Amino acid sequence: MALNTASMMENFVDVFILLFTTIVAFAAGNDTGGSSFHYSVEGKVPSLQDYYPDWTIRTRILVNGGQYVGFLKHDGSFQVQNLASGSYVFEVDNADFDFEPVRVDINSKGKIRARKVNYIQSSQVNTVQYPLKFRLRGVANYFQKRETWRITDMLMNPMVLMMVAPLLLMVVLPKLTSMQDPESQKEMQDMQQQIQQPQMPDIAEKLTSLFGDSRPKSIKAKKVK
Amino acid sequence: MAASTCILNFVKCLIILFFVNVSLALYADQVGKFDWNQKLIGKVKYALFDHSTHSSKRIVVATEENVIAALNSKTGAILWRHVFEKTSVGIVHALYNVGNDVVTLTGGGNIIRSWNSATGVLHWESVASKSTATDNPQSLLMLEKKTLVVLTSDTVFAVGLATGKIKWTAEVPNKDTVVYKHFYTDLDNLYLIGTVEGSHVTIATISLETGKVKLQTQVPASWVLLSTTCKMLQSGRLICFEPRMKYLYSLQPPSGDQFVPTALSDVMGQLMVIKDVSFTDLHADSVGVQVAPDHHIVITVDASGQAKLVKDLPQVFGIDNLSGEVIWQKLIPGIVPFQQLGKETLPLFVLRTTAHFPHPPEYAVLGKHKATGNGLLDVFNPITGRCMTREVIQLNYRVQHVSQLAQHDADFVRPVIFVDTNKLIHVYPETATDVLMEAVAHNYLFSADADTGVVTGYRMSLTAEKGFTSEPVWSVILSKDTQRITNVVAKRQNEHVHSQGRVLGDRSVLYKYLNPNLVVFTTEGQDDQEKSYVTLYLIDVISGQVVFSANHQRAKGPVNIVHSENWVVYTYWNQRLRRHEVAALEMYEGRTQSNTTAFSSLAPPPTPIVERQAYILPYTVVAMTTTITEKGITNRHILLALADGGILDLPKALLDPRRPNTPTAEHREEGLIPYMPEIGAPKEMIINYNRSVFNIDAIYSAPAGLESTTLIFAYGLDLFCTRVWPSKMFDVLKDDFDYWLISVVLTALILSSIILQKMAARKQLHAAWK
Repeated sequence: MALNTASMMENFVDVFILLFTTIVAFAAGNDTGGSSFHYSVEGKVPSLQDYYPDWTIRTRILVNGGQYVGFLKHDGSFQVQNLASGSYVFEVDNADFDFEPVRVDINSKGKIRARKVNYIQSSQVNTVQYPLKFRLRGVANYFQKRETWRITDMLMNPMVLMMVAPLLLMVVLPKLTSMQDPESQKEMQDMQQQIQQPQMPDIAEKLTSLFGDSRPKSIKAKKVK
Repeated sequence: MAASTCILNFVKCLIILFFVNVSLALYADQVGKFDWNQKLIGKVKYALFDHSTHSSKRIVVATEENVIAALNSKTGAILWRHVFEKTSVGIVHALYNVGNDVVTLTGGGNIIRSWNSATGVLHWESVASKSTATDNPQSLLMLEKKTLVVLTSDTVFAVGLATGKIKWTAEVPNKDTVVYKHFYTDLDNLYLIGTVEGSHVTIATISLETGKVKLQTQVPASWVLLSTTCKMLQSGRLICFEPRMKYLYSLQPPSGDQFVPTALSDVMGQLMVIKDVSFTDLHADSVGVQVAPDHHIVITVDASGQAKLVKDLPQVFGIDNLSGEVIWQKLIPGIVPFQQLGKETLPLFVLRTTAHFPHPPEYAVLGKHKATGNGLLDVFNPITGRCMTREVIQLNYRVQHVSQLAQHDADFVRPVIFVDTNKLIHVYPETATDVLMEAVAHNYLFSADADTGVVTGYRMSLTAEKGFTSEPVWSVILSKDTQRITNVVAKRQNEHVHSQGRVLGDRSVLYKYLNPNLVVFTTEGQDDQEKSYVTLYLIDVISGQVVFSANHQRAKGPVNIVHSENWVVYTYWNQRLRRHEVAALEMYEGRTQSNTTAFSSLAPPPTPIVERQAYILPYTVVAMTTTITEKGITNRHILLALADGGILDLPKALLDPRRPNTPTAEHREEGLIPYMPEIGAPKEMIINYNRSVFNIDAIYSAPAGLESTTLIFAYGLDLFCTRVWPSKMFDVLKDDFDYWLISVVLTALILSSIILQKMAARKQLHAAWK
């Protein structure tokens, strides 16, 4: 009986040792297999097919300013492999378009988080979707426009407007309103005179009549006396 | 309150920056007028002729600059190009042709990518995560079953060709003792061939389907070494070259169990002095043997006398700076560059310019002889490229230090002095000893040793026994144990400072500290807590005085420095906040000038006032330089080569350490831009618009004849040459000057005045006769 239990104990110990070593070996195997350089980050660049057909060749993804380079497949998706845990800045390197860069943090357990790049407050977290999708900021504009001379530059000058426009009005308008035959011209002149002459005393009389009715007459009468 | 003033300042700054931006950009019609650029690929490592059925003949190459490209085989034009990482991660280990695709192996043998060889578009990429990256993995092989096999130093794995999925990964057997370098496949099996130095060659048979090792055989070969060059032919034969007895051994795995020797002399026919042999892949059954005789030119010779490959040696090119075409190029046989602070350099000196007719201009290139290590000097005419002396001058000493004197001799040549390892001074041209005699009293030398961390100053003297010697005068020890010297930057010799000081807002003058003998040294190191730091030292190299030193904790290189006039601008990586930063440093004497006539390091002014400021760069800077003009009147601009291929042109006013946080009226009077922490890269300031230039090593700037213009040349993988006008073209008529409009208006006015005069005279006459 004692022998049986002893051998059973031995067997048990053997099995235990075997199990233990396999577990350790497995863990160790995992350790060497799961080395720190095996994370990969995926993403996609929106299509620039409308601008030029070979956009996938002209664009590449720069990680940390060239520490790693990612290339695009025909649909714009990319993968950057063999990254260790840490923080990386992903930016799109395309000469004609401007994309928003993204900061990707990989923690030691392999969790990947994408957030906006903020160099001034680097601990601020504004998460961005992962797998990465780059946002097009705009077309890169490298040139400034030439200043061309246009006729409106001269016409719209306020000095010109103040002087030339009244001049035109004074010359052009009478030409428009004046008739061809001299009679109607004379009529116009007579009319103008008529309108102008009685107007002046009329207004003065009206004003005086408004304020005081008969007094000026009585005064006049008195004075005549 | 604070927020509103903050916003106000921000708006003001934006307005100022807006004006700064607009004044600097190019016009769209100026593209290509003053600049040219060339996209290059580098030294070719592997080349494949495209066997696909497309009509255009294509060659796909992989180069030592980590670039793969497709070239038109008739014209050499680049059809498409992909630039990998500059570091060892991007080294292209193998290039293989698979139908319409090209497969590359990069990243230490881990990353396989398949590209369409016509368009360059990526099909798939996959990574073998279990293998560890090395610098020397082996090549790929395609099989009939649409599988690619890759061998690295300790694993072999198979990848499916269509999708890139890893089929199996296996460890190589006996990886500690056997070094596997070749493999061969037939329908079912993969044969790994490895060598054990001095004893035998092992052949391991691995199943293609599963990756399991089936069988291992050994073939005795006592002559085999790790450095033995071998080649696996496509027919399955292994050929090795044994250099001692000049034998070629061949083996036919898997059935072969003996090496069959043949003497090389029987194969080659004539006995040449054969030093080194390497093989190239030409056809399935024959092998091209590259033999290198002493002339250092490598030719492939095979049965049909095909492709001629010339091994690359450092070459000198004369390139026309208007068009970019190569006018002449020359090969300097036997020359090897010097190693300076981790970079290879071949110093180039201007001995005589073209300003002294009838003497022809002379330039000199200094290098090391490949075999002896002695100095090698080539003096040539820069216009034609022809050597001025009968042949390359071989110096019979090792050059430790080289410098050029400021005085010139009777023939207007500025001599170059060499200090050899025995501290003796030699001069070229040898007839210039009288100039050297004069120079001995006034010129001092200095050297910085990166290995020992010691900066030493020397003075030159003439002794009776040994001739001209140099003897140390002072030394500064930048401790070697914790830090290492990484940059030594002096000012440019032909630089001219125009103004002695800066006019402040209250009309007083702040005098600049202009020390022509100041040199900037940067060191990078790690302290005891494994935190890296960067230190900057400004040392006067005549007196040895450390004028200023600055330390950046938790910062890392590489440090790009520009040192000019009284300022230093340098970039570094801030490890704690994970961003690139640029620091600007300016030195001033104060409100009074200590010596108004000349600066003397031996009677120096008091320690200068140093103003410093740092800014954030939201991009990676690869190289940096400043503009330079003949008289120094124009503003200074700093040119930065960025990692994404643009070259940024920043005004120095943005990197001014006096930029105030809260500007007062005085600051505005002085013209200081308010402080903003980030210096952006607006697209208008990129001088190479959309013609990206990658992997730039350095940018060189040179003064042009006109005061307003600086010539810029950026080189590295790609070349880019242009002109910049930091203060706009103030001494030249602008290039859209309306010659036509002005001349038309002028002639119209003249004609009308003549005609009207005549008409007026006629009218007067008529009126007189009435």
